[in-house]
Amino acid sequence: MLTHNSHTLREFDTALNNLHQSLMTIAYKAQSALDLAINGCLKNDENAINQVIADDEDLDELEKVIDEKSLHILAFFSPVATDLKLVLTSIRLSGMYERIGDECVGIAKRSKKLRNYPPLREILAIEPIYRDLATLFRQINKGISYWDVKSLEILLPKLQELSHKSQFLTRHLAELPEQHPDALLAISELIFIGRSLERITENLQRIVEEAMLVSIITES
Amino acid sequence: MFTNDLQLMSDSNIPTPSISIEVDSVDFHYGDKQSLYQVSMQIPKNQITAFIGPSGCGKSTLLRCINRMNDRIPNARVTSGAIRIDGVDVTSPTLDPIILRREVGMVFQKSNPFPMSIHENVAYGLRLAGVKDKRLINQTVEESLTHAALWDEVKDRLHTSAYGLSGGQQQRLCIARSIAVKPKILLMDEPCSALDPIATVKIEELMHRLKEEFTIVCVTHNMQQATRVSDLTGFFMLGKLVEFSSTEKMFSNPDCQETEDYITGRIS
Repeated sequence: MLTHNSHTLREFDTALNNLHQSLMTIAYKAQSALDLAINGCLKNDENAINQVIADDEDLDELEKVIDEKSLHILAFFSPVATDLKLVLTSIRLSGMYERIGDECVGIAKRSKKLRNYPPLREILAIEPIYRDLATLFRQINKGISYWDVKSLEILLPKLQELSHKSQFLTRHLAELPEQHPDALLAISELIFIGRSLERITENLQRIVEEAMLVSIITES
Repeated sequence: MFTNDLQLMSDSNIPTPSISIEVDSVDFHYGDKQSLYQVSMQIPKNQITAFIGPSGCGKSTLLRCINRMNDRIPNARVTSGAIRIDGVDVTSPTLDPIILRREVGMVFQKSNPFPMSIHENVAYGLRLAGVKDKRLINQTVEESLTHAALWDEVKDRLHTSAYGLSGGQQQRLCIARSIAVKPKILLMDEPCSALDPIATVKIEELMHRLKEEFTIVCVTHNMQQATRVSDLTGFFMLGKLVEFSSTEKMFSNPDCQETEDYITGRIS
């Protein structure tokens, strides 16, 4: 009798599920870091900013945990085919989520500095980019939680579009110093925040492309 | 010698230079029970081809069809199709299986040295083939044992009993015995299943070296071994060849769901 989704060796399933849980934990923590960082920036919320910086250690630690769990699976269960792809993809995705976390820390730290300057109306320009990014981030994480390649595939054009928008935002922010020579330092922080959003979009694109290499759909 | 015999018996089959064994739509029965269903594959020369699959899937049956070992089992027979070696159908009843087995050597799961000395074990096939020249026999024994990576370990005790060797050494002796008669093809039926990891590594290294001279077909239950040693892999299930492709392809991106389920351990 064929059972497509569970291994004969129950420990192997347990180890793979465990790895996937850790991957989803780092994924949702990165998603949460983005929400907190942008909220901190837009609403001038110091608690949110501090939490992003503090939570980054968890993301770093989770990346190591995923590496260790993956190594354990490679050493003890010698995975092949889809199982091997799942393990290798988990290792790579965890690194990408961790980098998203680092970008969020960058946003948080710059938001903290922005608090030292008079409020900039231009800060609102990042909100629509963030809204699209947050929506896509949730859809990506949901797709990865089920390894649903088809649902991930349809997100790629949207990410491409968002990537163009975020590049446009960075260019727009880069033109501001000419208009506001008195707020050079604050604007430079804002430019770097825009650049971080751009890099987060790029990382999400890579995450989707990487996850699509797991070519079969498995049940969670 | 044998090849000429085979070629004389061959009338219409054109040998394909790079193909050593051509299995063409083979059905096989043990009495009323069908064990192989329309199996077709082309096994290339000087490569290692692994057969994998759950117990009872027909992989050993097919292996044993290649040198007609199944002839020894009453009512076991290829009921349709052909197995061609260099273009000659070896399932033909007019072909002498003794001649066939000089060209197609076999190594079994459990090492089976004869109750005689190491030297006599290796020389046995030559003597059976009528070779009497002692110098030639001694030279072939040394060559075969060297080929089987055993010479250095046994050169000082060639005339002692083969039973005094370790399991891994006995298996290498059996390989030396098989290659002494210079076959073209070496069949291996789970050659390492009774060996420890060190002896297994030695046999696997040996297989890599031997493939330069021989075509090797190996049945294994060990997935890791299949990935380590073989160039091509055939996956069998319920008597059918489900998938036959390069080992790299099969273990990274198999075409069939059944293959994926089996190699990833999802078949229960």
